Amino acid sequence: MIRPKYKAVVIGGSAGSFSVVSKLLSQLREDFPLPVIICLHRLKHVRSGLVESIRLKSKLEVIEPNDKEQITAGKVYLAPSNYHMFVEYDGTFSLSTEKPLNHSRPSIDHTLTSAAYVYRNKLIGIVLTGANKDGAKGMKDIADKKGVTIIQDPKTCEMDTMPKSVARLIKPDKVLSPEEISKYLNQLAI
Amino acid sequence: MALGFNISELRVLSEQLSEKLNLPFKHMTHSFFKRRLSQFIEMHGIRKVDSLMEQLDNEEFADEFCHFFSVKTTELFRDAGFWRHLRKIISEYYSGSNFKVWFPDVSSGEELYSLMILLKELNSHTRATVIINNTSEIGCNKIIEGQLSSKKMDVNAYNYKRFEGSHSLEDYFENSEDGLKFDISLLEKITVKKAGIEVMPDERCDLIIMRNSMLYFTRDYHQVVKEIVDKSLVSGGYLCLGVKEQLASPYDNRFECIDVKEKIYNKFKFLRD
Repeated sequence: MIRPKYKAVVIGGSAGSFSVVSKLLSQLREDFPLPVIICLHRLKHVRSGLVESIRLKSKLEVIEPNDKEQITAGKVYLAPSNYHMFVEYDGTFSLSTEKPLNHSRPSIDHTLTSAAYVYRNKLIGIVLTGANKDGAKGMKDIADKKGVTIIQDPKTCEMDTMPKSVARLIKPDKVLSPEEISKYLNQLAI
Repeated sequence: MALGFNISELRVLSEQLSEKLNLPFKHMTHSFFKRRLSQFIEMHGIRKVDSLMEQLDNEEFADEFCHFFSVKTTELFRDAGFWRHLRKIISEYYSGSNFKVWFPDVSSGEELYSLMILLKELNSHTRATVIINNTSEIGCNKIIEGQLSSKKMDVNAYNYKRFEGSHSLEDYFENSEDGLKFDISLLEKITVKKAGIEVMPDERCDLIIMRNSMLYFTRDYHQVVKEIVDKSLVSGGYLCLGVKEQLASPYDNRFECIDVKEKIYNKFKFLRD
């Protein structure tokens, strides 16, 4: 068996990202060999609905992890509403009720930065459509650790502030449309 | 800056801090310890570990340090569904009797004030003995003073509406120089202990509310805390965790989860106290 070159994919998105994530997960291979860690900006009072909707089209199992839940390859993890989600060195998630970052809880920067420190150059970081700058700092941390950085092509975004904020801080490795992202991941994760 | 520390340096420092301040820094999750430490160090312009340890010899500074590690950002009636269920439990099982409630780690007043409003609306506040632990003098004082930022009042009011409270949230607060002040007459009988999560109350309690307190600690330490909680709760009592926390499997034979969504557990009645 060939070991995948990477250890995890981490995705951040905000306004307009739900449909992109749904589509992306529907196009990932059933045997996708990495954990997919997703942090989307979401309504703090609405605890259910999002994960169920994302599950509808995904070929992979989609979970909103509990605190200290083990991260497993081939599963999709969605940050719960009103909690930050961090990746720990022991391969688990830690949740937090610390103050919002970039007006957001969950904050994409927190998830991306913690994943960057744990997975280093074995991480693929993706920032999708969104209306604020959350995620830019986290993508810089991924780039600093020599991970792969991908932004959604601003031309295909409902709101392009988020990927453009990343591009202002770093030169992303790839600028791709949603279709190209899933294609790229399916090839890269082998 | 903590960002310059490697994993083993952070581990050594967390052990030193645990010993010095008698709090479980060494059991904090790596990401949390690193993040809070780096924020504190940056805030105080500290450049060396030795300097931090030296300053921690000062009691006031050490108290501020402990207070900083306590996560204070929450809301009144966060997770309104939980508070509705708790109201049902209290009105069904404790309405005619005295009962004890323990908060093993109250970081800021919101959870306590939410409970006191709930008890007041059930007219049970005079029958409840409430004990709270907080790791710093600053934290204890702030909670008892009842100060609350007015910035979060919109969120608080929305949560209270979803809780379906019988009054207006404003009835429990008055304006003050620093924002809002909670009706401190409701806090008169509260016992406040400057202590960590491991310091148990003198007597077993009927209800333990420990929502989101364990998020910042490792899985191994969760086992320690769960044993403390088990020892501190009467048989038939209720344990309330955060909605994304859970009891580990060894406790399946001691607790029944009666609300999977809101993470409310009932300790089996047949267990010997």
